[in-house]
Amino acid sequence: MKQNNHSIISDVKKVKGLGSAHHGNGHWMAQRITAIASIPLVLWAVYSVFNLQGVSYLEFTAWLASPLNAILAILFVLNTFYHASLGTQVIVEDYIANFVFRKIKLIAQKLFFIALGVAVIFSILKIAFTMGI
Amino acid sequence: MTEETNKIVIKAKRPLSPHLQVYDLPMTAKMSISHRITGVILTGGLVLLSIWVIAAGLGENAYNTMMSLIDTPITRFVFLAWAFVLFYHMGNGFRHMFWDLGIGITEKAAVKTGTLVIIFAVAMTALIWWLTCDCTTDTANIIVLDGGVHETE
Ligand code: HEM
Repeated sequence: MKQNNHSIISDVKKVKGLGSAHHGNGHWMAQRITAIASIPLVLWAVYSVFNLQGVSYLEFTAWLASPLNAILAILFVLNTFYHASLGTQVIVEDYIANFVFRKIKLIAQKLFFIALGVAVIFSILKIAFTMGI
Repeated sequence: MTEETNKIVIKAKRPLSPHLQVYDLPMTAKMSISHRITGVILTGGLVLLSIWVIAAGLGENAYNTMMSLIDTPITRFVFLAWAFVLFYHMGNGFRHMFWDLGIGITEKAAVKTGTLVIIFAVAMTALIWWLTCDCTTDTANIIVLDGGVHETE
């Protein structure tokens, strides 16, 4: 077997799970941790979404301004966005073969999730701080 | 023949089965790919929920516009479908994590737990609909109130 002596990655690092994906098992574990954390958060979110269908602006903002709902909503956003970001990352890695396209798509969607997540959390905080009693 | 042309001949003759357009995938394979598809659909759902909250943050007008778009009979059905997709993905996620622990990795078990996941998704969707549908106690109250009004008149 040909040895690549020029690599700055040590053999130990190679053995510790840096395979064809170029990163270790941290991603896999994070996908599972966010999955488990999302069980209660998702149950709460689905129940809330169904209850909030068609409610007025005042009802919605009063609901979101309650500390418990605001905190759960922020946790839901952080956890689920992270889970979705990790999940869609794997899909792109699997299906986009071209290196440049893949990297651009990966960076673009990461920035997209960060921007959307910040916008949602900002909106939640704004409602919580201005509409709360 | 050189080794290179040899390789090309072998490649050309290689069978393509299972060809996805004609091959009827087994139930376990359909469920496998649908975990990925539901993950993508749910990501789209997440974007929609985000727009709802952002609209509320922008103020009453933006909120009302958004609500008039997402509170129609059709979108109510879409929300129900979203819940089903979510519970399906959740059930299948449990299945994935049990497999990671080495539990249930036989074909027989996979078919059985796959059926369980579908039952779980239908049952949870029905439960959430029943819990939030305004068609149990609330309607009863309205009827009682209505009766009360008529009596006093
Ligand atoms: C709105 C909520 C959710 C979104 C947007 C979402 C999205 C995704 C996406 C895009 C993937 C990648 C699929 C793939 O690699 O093929 C994924 C994987 C996964 N999801 Fe979710 N998900 C959500 C909720 C949940 C919940 C509640 C669970 C709870 C059990 C869960 C468990 C998992 C697991 C275990 C995986 C990894 C499967 C694998 O390794 O192939 N997800 N999710």
